[in-house]
Amino acid sequence: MSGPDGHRGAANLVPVERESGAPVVLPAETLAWIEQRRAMYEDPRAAILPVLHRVQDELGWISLEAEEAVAQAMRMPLAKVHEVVTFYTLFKTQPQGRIRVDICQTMSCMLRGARELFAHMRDRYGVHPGETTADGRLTLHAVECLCNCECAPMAQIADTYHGPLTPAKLDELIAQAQPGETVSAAVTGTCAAAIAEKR
Amino acid sequence: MAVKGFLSALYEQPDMHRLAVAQERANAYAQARRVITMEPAAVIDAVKAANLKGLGGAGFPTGMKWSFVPPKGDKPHYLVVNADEGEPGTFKDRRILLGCPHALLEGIIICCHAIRSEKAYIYVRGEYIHEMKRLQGAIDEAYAAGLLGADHLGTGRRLDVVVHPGAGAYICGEETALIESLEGKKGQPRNKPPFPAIEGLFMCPTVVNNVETLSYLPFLFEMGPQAFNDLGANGTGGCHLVSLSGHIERPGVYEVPMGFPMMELINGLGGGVWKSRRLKAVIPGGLSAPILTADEAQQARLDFKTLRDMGSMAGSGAVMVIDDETPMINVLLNCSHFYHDESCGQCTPCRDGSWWLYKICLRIARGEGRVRDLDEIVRICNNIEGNTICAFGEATAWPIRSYVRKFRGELEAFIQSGQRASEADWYHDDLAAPPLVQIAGVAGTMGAHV
Repeated sequence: MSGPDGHRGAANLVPVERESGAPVVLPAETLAWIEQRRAMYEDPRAAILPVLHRVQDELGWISLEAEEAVAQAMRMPLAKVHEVVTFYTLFKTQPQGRIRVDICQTMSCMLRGARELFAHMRDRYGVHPGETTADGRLTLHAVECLCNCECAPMAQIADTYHGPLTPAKLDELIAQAQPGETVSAAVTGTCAAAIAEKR
Repeated sequence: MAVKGFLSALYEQPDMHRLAVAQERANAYAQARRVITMEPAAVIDAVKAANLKGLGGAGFPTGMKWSFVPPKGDKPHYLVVNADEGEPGTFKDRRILLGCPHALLEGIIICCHAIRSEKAYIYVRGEYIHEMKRLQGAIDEAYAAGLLGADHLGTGRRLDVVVHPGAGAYICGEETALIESLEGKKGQPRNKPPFPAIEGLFMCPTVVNNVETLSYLPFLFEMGPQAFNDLGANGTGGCHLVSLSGHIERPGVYEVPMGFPMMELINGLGGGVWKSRRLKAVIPGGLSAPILTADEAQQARLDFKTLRDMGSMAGSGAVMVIDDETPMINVLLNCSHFYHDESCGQCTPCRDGSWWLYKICLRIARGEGRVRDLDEIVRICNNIEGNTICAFGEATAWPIRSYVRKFRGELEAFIQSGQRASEADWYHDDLAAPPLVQIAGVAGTMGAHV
């Protein structure tokens, strides 16, 4: 992730304001989902990525307070939760717009004109990668290869891949976009119950 | 050359993700039913004889990988399916996840029988939301039909399959980083040995296989190891899915036998370079593969041995075509930015080396380069290669060095012209100054060494 999110490999030594201002209390339904997910692994700590997805799906981003709530639910040290959150680019440590617009910047999309899309986002919506529109509707990110290069230049808008894109097509998709399917819903299936039953 | 489709014949049919359709039209799970009556050692021997190789990028012989798993002791064995598709240019595994997930699940049953595993984890990249949903739906159907779960297929044994979402990190495609990530940690690769077959997931014997590799297993057992081997060439059996993208008329996934000629792919199946332009270069196996010039591409064939002998690699089967109007500095800058962005930060040569490479490439792209920068790039690449825990170091060094070596004249002329590349404006100058440590308002200089 280029831009303000920084680089996962280098220590980010500049303190970032990440507090949401209020403690996060996870609903009972979420806590039950977390317990079911923990039971699917021989080491329950392995559930941390799906659990963080679930919490982010509900809250929109992962604040420091959300990390504390996850640490408690996962019986993990806060520091271990924090190092996972900050390593993976899909976990957002700042509030996000309701619709994500992730435009691919890697080779095949670059070759077929991804820069035109970034220029359009800047000119039409006033956002650079990492920024959210003033109305809070969308956040733009420049992302690395999403593996849909046959449709280059492409973007993931909300939950769905779209391409090949032109500025006009991008406008159309952004106008219609809804938040859509979430990661945690996509990996919730009946087999979880079967595994939990065994244990 | 006419190509009979195997996986493509499945995923191109509508509704093949549904169990009833897969069983009726494609005889899904018939080979799994047969293989689970075989001795595990005989299954591994068949896969060895078929010369099936890892199609995620490494090209390691699959049967040999399975044979490293020790005899069943106290510890459980695991299969981890690498669906963290991420090598730039690659988009084949998602065809399988969306179009024919039951071929993958059948392959999982076969592999788990061979390595005596009762649990498989499928690690899917977090962006593949629809792919995960489709896969989870197929798994739920397979549970309901008794193909998975307790006493699966009447074997008296369990087989559980869990879909696990990743969260956006290229490095997690490396098998030990993937295991670390699956265990709930940062995805940083492990030192080897021990190899995963001895100590992998949860410190237990583990096989990590790519989606496509496993999905070919039902075909391998249907036609038999000899026929599968004979489909391929140059030491690798079977077919593979080639992801064709870049400056090509008909980008897409093409299923071709091992050893398929590169120019037949580009000019035949792919319809030629787009806009009637001429070919400048080809990246033959994902972004980490050293580039081939247009002349070299004439001789290239898509298999592990041919491309290795040419000083490149077949990798994940991702072919990216570059036309003659593309300035090489744009390719160089884009590639160096990717590896800087995705380095996990564990090894200094890679973390700092990829950063230096990007800084130098950005300087050149901004018209501020010096010809000796090209030597510096090669020197940095030489110092990354071989000096890191995982192959990410080589994946950084090899392509970047190949661009400089094979297009040195063009890059020198660009530097001497003092021009600014069209791509240069798109990269942040966030690397210009080292980060400073700021604690309680006191600015220090520790960060200068970070």
